Amino acid sequence: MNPQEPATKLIERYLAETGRHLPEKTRDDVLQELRGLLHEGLQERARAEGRLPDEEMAVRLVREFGEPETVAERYLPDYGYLIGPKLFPFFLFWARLVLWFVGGVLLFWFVVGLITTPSPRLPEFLRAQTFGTLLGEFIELAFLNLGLLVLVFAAIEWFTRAAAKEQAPEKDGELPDWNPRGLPEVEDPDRVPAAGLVWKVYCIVAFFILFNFFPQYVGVVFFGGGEVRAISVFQMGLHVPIFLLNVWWATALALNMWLLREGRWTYESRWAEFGLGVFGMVIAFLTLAGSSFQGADVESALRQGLSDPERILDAARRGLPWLGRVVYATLVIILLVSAIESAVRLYRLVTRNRHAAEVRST
Amino acid sequence: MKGTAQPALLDGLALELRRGAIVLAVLSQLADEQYGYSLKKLLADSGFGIDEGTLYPLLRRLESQGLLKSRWRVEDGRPRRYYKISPQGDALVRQLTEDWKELSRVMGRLLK
Repeated sequence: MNPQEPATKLIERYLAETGRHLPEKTRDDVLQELRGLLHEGLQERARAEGRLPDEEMAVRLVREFGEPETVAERYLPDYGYLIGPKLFPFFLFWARLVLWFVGGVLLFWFVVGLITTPSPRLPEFLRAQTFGTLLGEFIELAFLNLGLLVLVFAAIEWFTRAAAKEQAPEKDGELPDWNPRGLPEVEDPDRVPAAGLVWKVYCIVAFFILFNFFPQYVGVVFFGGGEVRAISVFQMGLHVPIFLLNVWWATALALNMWLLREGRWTYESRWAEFGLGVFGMVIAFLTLAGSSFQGADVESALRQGLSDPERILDAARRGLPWLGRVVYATLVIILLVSAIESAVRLYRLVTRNRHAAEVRST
Repeated sequence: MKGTAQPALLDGLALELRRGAIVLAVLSQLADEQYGYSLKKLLADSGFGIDEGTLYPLLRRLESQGLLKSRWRVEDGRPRRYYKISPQGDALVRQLTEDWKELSRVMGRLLK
């Protein structure tokens, strides 16, 4: 290990913690400057002390620099703020939670509507509940709830700031009592864990084989008439554009193999991931458009050798089309969430790269 | 304790006194481009020590007020943000310098 690595790692932990309290707009730029200045300071100390920079030296340096939230606070604009750097990470956490909750509630009601709407009225339901309608409802609810959250946090900020003013003023030259060794470890957002990738590759291959060579087992598998039987989702009325799905799997497999070799996300692979997400959404919508969920073929499937076909048929007539819709709705939710997540990750990578390119070009 | 200022009170007042001069001190040294660390050393060499936690955010603030200009430069493989006074900052420094000299003259008379 490089003898300077512990010092560098501690500085990165310090920067990461400071960055959590900075506004996203200026974060990369401020951190880039701070990184340079901290390293400069570290080298200067090392020269003065006649030894290589070590962790203890970095601890003293960042301790003198100040607590991350205090440093971040000094970088905030003069015109004040509703939610300060100390509360900002908690606000972000709650804002995300609120957005997920609002999205979850809307999707839950969508799924409930999808399940409970009688089949003949399903097209009418889907015409009323378009993606645009759901998005509009989401934006309306999200604004309302985030507005309330901002008010709550602004009130907390106001009270805590008022309380802080009553405390003794900071004395010049006196170091605040905080321990840089307690800074949390930095997670590298671009590192790709190999175990997760191997699992993804396994799933892709397994689904490819299942859908292409054993489609009859994609659905409900049960024991009846003394043997293992299955009612596939295709018999329930699900129509999957298998060629497109194969193209999607092949691309996903290539992307994951590439990531496995590289070990890190890059600009290109993030774009590819985003493209795959969009492609997946297209396949999901094509699946919806081509599916009927009538369960028409279920009867013939069930009549083949079950011990009590009438009873199971009755349950299947009522239950299986619903199951098909639940499967479909779950698929849509997973694809939508993963597409949004990959878009966010891509945006972060693009802004990070853009800033690095700006620094390089000057 | 009669005749001796309380240490905490003295510290606080001395800090206030210095705070008033920081902006002028910083702006006065930026006729030539400097980056944060070199400026800190320059000020310290002239006897005006200032801690990093105060100086670096101040440079940003002065830039956002249009008193400084900045640009990134890569030196020895390390990106550094260089700051230089803007024409607006230059005009302000000249005006503040006059005010400072006047204040200094007045204070000199008062403290005689």
